[in-house]
Amino acid sequence: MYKTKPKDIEKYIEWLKVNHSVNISKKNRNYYESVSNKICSDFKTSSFWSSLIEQFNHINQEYYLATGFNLFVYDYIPKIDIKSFDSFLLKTYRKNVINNMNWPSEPEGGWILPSNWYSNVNDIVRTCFVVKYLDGVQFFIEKLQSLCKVCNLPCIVDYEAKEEGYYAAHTYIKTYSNIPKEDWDTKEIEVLVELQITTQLQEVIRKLIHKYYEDRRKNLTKDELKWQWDYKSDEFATNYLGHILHYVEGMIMAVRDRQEEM
Amino acid sequence: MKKEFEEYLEKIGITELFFDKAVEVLDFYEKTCSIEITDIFVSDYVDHDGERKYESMWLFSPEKIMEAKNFLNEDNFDAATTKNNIIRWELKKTEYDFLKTTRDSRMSLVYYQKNMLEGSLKASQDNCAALYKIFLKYILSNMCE
Repeated sequence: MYKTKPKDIEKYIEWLKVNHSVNISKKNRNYYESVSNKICSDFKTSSFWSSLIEQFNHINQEYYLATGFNLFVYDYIPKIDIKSFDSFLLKTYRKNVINNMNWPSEPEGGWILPSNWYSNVNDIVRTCFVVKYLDGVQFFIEKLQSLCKVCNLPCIVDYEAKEEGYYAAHTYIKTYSNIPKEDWDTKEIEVLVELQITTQLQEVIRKLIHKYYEDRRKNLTKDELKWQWDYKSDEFATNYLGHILHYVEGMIMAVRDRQEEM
Repeated sequence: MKKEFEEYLEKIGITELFFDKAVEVLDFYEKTCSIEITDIFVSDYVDHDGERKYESMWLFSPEKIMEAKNFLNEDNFDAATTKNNIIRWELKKTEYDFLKTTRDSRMSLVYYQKNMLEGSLKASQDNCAALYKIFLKYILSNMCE
């Protein structure tokens, strides 16, 4: 039995096998693919998503009439993405190991294992809406909340503001999906679908630092010097750029508000 | 609202809430001012992000030209008598031959009246054809002798 934290994803796969008899194989990947595809197709055909598509232009126009600016950067509904199995497994590693304060005991809420992991990973199916201005984030979230209410779906809103300069609002829509069981039967599970709302400027920085974050989240090793002091590091530049952009967006709003008052 | 107005607005992307604003403008001139509107035009342009932006809504009658400035965000209406009152006009166009419009078609029209009043109208893409029609029907035909 493993007592020390597995230091990378390979060791985590071993830990799953030894401690929980979970064998990560091609079969798991294929099964994940069929389940995630089903969750995605159920969400795409949900009354919530259909209503959102129907109201997309209306919501944009409502914001335009109130502010004189378009709400969205793009005039089309964003594509719904499915998290890859590798990325999904990495997320369970972060929850079970990296961020587990109770190690070697189970994290708060219990171990995330195949029996429950489709309901515990909240972004297997996700999409991202890009708004032009900072106030558009809250405006759109309020619209999503109203729509959830109409469709009788619970929703959780998380305005993320990370030390690493990451700013975005995540809305989680709680829905149900009839997923295939490994014996070809089906079962209904509760799933969360993630709708991210970010701004145009933050989208630029997200694209720049995405690869960097992906690599960084794959292991446990910590740098000796805090990134805030390591001015030569990539983190120093990119993380502070995230904070600066957020500040600039706030300033843009202040200028826009002043213009409206004139 | 006349069927042809509805069709025109829909063609240039004035739908849903924007359409409701256009109805408000039309109602103001027709019902409050009792002017019979024979044509409408929405001034538009494409900004540097490729987004279509709408400015004033223009309304026409045989005697008058009316403008609802920035009609989506303001209630700012005016009207001027233009019958045989136009002394100069200036028309500019790109990628438009008065027959066929493309995505890159642009047209602008400025007219001046005897009383120093002037009007400025812009069109992009398929809206250029509508502006050309307005030019012939209400500007060119109202040049003073």
